[in-house]
Amino acid sequence: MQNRISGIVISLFGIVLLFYIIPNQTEAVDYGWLKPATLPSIAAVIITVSGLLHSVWPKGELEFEFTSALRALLFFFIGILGLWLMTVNYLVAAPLLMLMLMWVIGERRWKWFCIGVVLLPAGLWFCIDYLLKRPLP
Amino acid sequence: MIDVHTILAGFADALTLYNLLYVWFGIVVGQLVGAIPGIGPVMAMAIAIPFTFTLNPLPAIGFLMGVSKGGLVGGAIPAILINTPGTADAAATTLDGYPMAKNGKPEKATKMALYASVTGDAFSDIILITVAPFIAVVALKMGPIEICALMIFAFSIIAGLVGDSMAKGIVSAGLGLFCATVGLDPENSSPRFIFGYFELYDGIPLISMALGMLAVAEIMRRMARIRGKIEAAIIIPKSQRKADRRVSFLEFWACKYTILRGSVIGSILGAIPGLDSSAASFLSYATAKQASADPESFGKGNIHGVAATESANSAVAGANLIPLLTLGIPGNLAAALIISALMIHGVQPGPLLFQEQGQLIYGLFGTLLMANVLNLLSGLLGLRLWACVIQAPESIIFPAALLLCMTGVYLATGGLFGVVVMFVFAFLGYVMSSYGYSVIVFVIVFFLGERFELSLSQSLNIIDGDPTVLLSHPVALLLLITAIFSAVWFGVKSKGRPE
Repeated sequence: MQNRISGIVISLFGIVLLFYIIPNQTEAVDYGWLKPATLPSIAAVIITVSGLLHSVWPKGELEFEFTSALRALLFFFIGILGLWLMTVNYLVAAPLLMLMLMWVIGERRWKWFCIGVVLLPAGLWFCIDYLLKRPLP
Repeated sequence: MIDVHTILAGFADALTLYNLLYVWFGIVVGQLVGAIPGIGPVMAMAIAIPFTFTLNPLPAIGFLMGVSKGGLVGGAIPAILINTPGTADAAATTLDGYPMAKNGKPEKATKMALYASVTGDAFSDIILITVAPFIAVVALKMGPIEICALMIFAFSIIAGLVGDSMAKGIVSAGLGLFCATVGLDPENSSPRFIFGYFELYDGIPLISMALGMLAVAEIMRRMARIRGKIEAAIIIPKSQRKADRRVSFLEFWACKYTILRGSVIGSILGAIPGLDSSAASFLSYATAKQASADPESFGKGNIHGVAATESANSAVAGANLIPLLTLGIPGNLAAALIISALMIHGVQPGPLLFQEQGQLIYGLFGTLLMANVLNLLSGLLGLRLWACVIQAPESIIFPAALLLCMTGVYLATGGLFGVVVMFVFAFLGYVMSSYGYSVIVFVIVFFLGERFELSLSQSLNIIDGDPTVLLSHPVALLLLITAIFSAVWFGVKSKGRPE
């Protein structure tokens, strides 16, 4: 059933692309064979039709598991939080990001925390910012 | 054809100490990450690309090829020791590798994997070096219409062969094509799908997309799966008999036909875009079992099983470069990353590459051959060492990989916008792979999308509304008809079971 629903969602997405996003995000040009909207429209039609076909004749296996997806979402949020912290300072963001990720995964051993939270970010900063002279945020 | 001076200059470039050191470093990294289940050489290559910006093209590509080749050897270590392939390529190696380890011969199995892998890899490199220049000469005679038809043909093959549902493969191809159109269009230079972000005028950053889809999505998946006690990925057996720690010359020689068969299968399948190394290794395993006088022993620790799978999956690596270098079509993810690295270094893959960058190409060929020697030496010295070093827990490996991805993309794109794009594509990659939509098809079509649009635009201008013009381009016509037939064929014959 999930397979079938994914096909429906995909074809709806294709329709949104075709009738809303493509007309609003491309310029109308009245010359040339390949207009700015031509190839995106072809892609959108392909997405819509294939999604529809997939919803009618669903095939293939799914790897979706609800609890894993929730945990993955949590890791995505931590990653985005780390990204936001990088707008402040890399040397603050990197150790905090490592700490949060390792803690949520379930790591509690101080030896690995030292390596992950202190040594790795410091080593990266030293190699990139200090040795290679490539500025980090 | 390329003159001898250019060929020799290219090989001389390959033999410089500077180049060899980078290749060796790549091999060491590849063997190490290949041995860590879940990381693998593709993820390592994706992470490493931004760090190669400061290098010249040859050592940069040599380093990435080193990671790819080393990863093929390293992937066999966990497959043999703990029945968990470090890479998808090594999945078939578990069939006989793990039983050999259980029978007290883990080092014999890993060494046979190393020898077979290096032999298969060298075989396919020689095929590449001898075949690719002639294909490039033919490819040079192709005009925009033929190139456009060839890409449509490649899309139909890739979408059909990768994944278990043709419809899902085509959806992935459509999404990849759509994302490739973000930015200025090639004919009118008008912006598309910018959504107010001027950073998107140049299109979606290649490196952000590649790392997001291939590396970060997989890192998130692996972190989400860790439950309960965190353990080291590899457990090394304490004691082995001396005779079981080595592969004698007689044992290797006894496997010569198995290795040769695997190398041929890998080279043929590797040259077809969309077929990955795991298909080659399973096919090679099946044929080795059929050809064996003792097929019952396969699956119970037969050394021929390890030789068959490892020679085939490694032979794919060199053969994959045939369509990449001659036609500009990446055959798999590793090739797609190599193509992106070439483009980032200002080198456009395709038939003109042999004319315009002959020295670089022959430098790359020399590098590939030297990489096999270095791969063998590093493997002999380090197989057991890698197994020890990678006993770090997953709780540090995956967060570190994520931090490296974020840092690498920041450096490559020169700002945090690229990192935001990486997370967007990571989410897309996670959702797509969860629902069985091929990420490989998406990435390959994305890479080809821009060139496809350009060649389509040129073709439409040549045809000028008259489809009968196609009759004067029989090669293009044949490719288009074959594309339609292959799409229908794979659609009907797709292996996935109805829900």
